[in-house]
Amino acid sequence: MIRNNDTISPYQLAMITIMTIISIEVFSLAAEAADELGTDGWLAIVILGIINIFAALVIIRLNSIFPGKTIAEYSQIIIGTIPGKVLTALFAVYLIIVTAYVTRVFTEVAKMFLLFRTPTEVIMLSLVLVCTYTARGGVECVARINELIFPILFIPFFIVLIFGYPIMDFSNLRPILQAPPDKILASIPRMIFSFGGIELALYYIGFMKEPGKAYKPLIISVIFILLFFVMITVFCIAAFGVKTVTKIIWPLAAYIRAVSLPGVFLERLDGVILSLWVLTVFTTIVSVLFIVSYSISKVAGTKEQKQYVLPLVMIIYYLALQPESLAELYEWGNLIFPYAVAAFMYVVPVVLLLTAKLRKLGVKQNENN
Amino acid sequence: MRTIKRLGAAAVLLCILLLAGCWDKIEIEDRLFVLSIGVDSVELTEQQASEDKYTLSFVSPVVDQIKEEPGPAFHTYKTVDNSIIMSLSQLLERFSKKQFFGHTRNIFFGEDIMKDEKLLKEILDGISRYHEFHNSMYAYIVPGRAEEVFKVKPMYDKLLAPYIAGIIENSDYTSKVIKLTLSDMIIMLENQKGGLVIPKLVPGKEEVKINGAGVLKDYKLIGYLGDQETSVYNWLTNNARGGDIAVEYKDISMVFRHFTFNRKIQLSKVEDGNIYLNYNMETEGSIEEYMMGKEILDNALLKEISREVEKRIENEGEKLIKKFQQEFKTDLIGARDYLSKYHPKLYKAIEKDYEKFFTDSIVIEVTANVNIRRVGLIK
Repeated sequence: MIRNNDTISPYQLAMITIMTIISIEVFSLAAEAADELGTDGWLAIVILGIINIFAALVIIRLNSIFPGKTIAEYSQIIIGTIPGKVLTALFAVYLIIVTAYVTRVFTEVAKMFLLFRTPTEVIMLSLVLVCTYTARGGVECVARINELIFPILFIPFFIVLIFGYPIMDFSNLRPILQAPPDKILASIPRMIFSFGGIELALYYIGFMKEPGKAYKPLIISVIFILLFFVMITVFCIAAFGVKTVTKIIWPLAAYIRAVSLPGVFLERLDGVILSLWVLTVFTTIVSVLFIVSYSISKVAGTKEQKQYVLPLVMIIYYLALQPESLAELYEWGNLIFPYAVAAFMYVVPVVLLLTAKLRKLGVKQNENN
Repeated sequence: MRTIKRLGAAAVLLCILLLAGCWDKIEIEDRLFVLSIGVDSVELTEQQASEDKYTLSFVSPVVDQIKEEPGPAFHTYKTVDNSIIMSLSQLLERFSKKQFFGHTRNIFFGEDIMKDEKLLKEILDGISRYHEFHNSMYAYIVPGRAEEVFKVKPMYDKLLAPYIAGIIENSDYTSKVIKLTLSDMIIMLENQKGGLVIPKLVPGKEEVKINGAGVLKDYKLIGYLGDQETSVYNWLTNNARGGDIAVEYKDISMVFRHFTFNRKIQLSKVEDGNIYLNYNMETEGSIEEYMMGKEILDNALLKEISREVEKRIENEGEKLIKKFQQEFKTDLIGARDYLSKYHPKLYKAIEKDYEKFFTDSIVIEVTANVNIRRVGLIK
C-alpha cells in the first residue's frame, strides 16, 4: 500500500528520471558512439532517444490504467500473483546488477582521476552506504534528493562544457550522414544501456497522484537527456576528432581535463567537475536502490521497505568486486545490459499493456489518452 | 548500564580511528612542481644498464628564491632509464619530494627520439596513458639533444618554462610560431598516420628561439621547415592569425601586417583522374613601413601593393605545397582532411593509395585576397 504522504510531483518525476539515466555511461558514451558510427555517432543517440520516447509513452499508458499502483502491484493483477511476483523479483535482480555495475565503473573512474591511493573497497562502501541512508527514507526523500542535486550538478557542468569552445573544431563532425542504415541499426543495441533507467518510471509513476500528468515530465526528461547526450558526443568528437575519441576510454573526462577557464587561477577543472560527478552516480544508485527494496517488500508482502536496504549493500559490494579488471567489467556490461535493458524497458511494458488490454483490466480510459 | 555506555563510547571512538584518514593527501610542501620535461634517447656513455633507452630531463622552480635573488631560480635534473614511468619512479629514489605534473608547461623531444619510430611511439603512449600528465603542455622538437634546453640561463626571466611557453603564446601575433599542444600532437599523429609538423626550438646560451619546424612522416623525422616556410605552413593550415609579410614594390621594401588570415579550400574540378583544389587565402591588415617623403595613402597605389602581397602569398604557398608533394611526399597541408570531410565519396575512391595520389594527381592552386585597411599614423 502507498501511504498518503508517499507521493511525488510531476516535476520530481522528471528530476528522478533525468538523474537516474545520467550516470557513469556519459564518460564513455562518445567513444562508443564514435566507434560504431564515426562522425555520425550522434545519430544513433537521436534514433535511440526517439525510440525511447515511444517506450516512455507505453510505460505511462500502462501506469495510467492502474492509478496509484506500481508495476510490482499491477503485474500481479495482470498476469497473476505468482508470475507477477517472479517478474518483480527479476526486476529487482536486474537493478541490483545495474547498481553493482555503476558502483564499480564509478570507482574505477574515481580511482583514475581523483583518489589514486584510496582503496577500491573504501570508495565503494562509502558511496553505497550514503546511498543506503537516503534510500531508507522512502520515495519522497529520494525525489527531494534528486530535485536538489539537479541544479547543483548541471549549472557548473554546462558552464565548463561551453568553455571548451576554443578546443573544438566542428568540421571534425564532417562528413555528415555517411553511415549506411544497416550499420546505424546494428549500433543501437550497444548504446541501449545509456538510456537505461526509463523503466524505473514503471514504479515511480505509481507514486504520483494523477498518472495522467506524467506525460509532460517524462517526455521532456527523455528529450533533455537526448539533447544532453548528443551535446556530449558532438563536443567530444569536435574536440578530439573521431580517431582519437575512439582510443580514449572516457572521452568526457579527457574533455574536461582539456578545458581551462580564461584566467590563470582556474586552470584545472577536472577535480572539481569529477567531484560533482559523484552526485549523479549517487542519485542513480539512490533511485535504483529504493526501487529494489520496494520490489523486495512487495514480493515478500511486507509493509515497509526500509529493512531491506542495508542487507542489499553487501550483495552490491560483493557483485561489484567480482570483475577482475576494467576490461572484464566492460565485457560483462556489454554482454548483459543490451538484453536486460531491452527486456525491461521495451518487452515487459508492451506485453503487460497488451495483456491488460486483452483482459480488459484496470480503470476506464479517459477519452484524451 | 555504565559498561554498555562505555562500550558504546569505545565503539564510536574506534569508528573515528577507522574512518579518519585520507589516502591521497600530499602536502604542497612535499610536491615538486615539474615545469618542463625533456626527452632524449640515451647516450652510450650515460647508460647504466643495457636496457636504458631514454634520458629524461626535468626542471622545477626553486620556490623560496623566486622573490629575493636575481638570476635564474630553477634547478634541473635528469634520469636515465628504460621508460618514462620507470624514470619517474627513479626520481622517488633520489628526491624527498613527490613530482607533480599538473603544471607542466613544455615537453621537448630530442631529434634522436623523433628519428626512432619505436622510441617515439613508446614515449607518447606512456605520456598519454599516465593520468598525472595534462595534455595541454606545449610540444617542441630540439635539434641535437633536448637536455641542451635545460642548460639555458634565460637573461630576463627567472624561470625557464614560462619563458618558453610565453614564446609559443606569441603565435597570436606572429605566424612564424606554431602553437602545438601535446594533445594536438597526439591527435595529429593519429589522424595523419604518423605525420606531424612540430615547432623547432633552438637553444642558445642565454635565450632560446623558435625557428622553423620539424616534419614527421610515419613517426620519423624527415626534414625541417625554415622560418618563413613555417609561416607559410600556418597560412596553408589555417592556423595563422597575426603576422607580418615583407614585400618589395618598386625598390621600396615594406611590411604588410595582418590581423586575420583565413584559408578556405575549394574543389575546383576533377578531370582526367586529377583533382584540382583551390586554396583561397583571405587576409586583412595594414602597411607598417614605407619610405620617408613618399605618401602611401592612395587607393590606386594600395591596390597595386596589395596585388604585390597577394603575389607573394601565392608564390610562397605554391612553393611549399610543391615541397610537401615532391620532397616530403606527405599531405600535412589539409588536402586529405578537406577531401575526407567535404567530399567523402571522392575520397573513398582514392583512400587506398592516397599518398601516391597526393604527389601525382592533386593539383593545388593558391589564390590570395589581400585587403589593406590602414596605413599607420602618417600619410
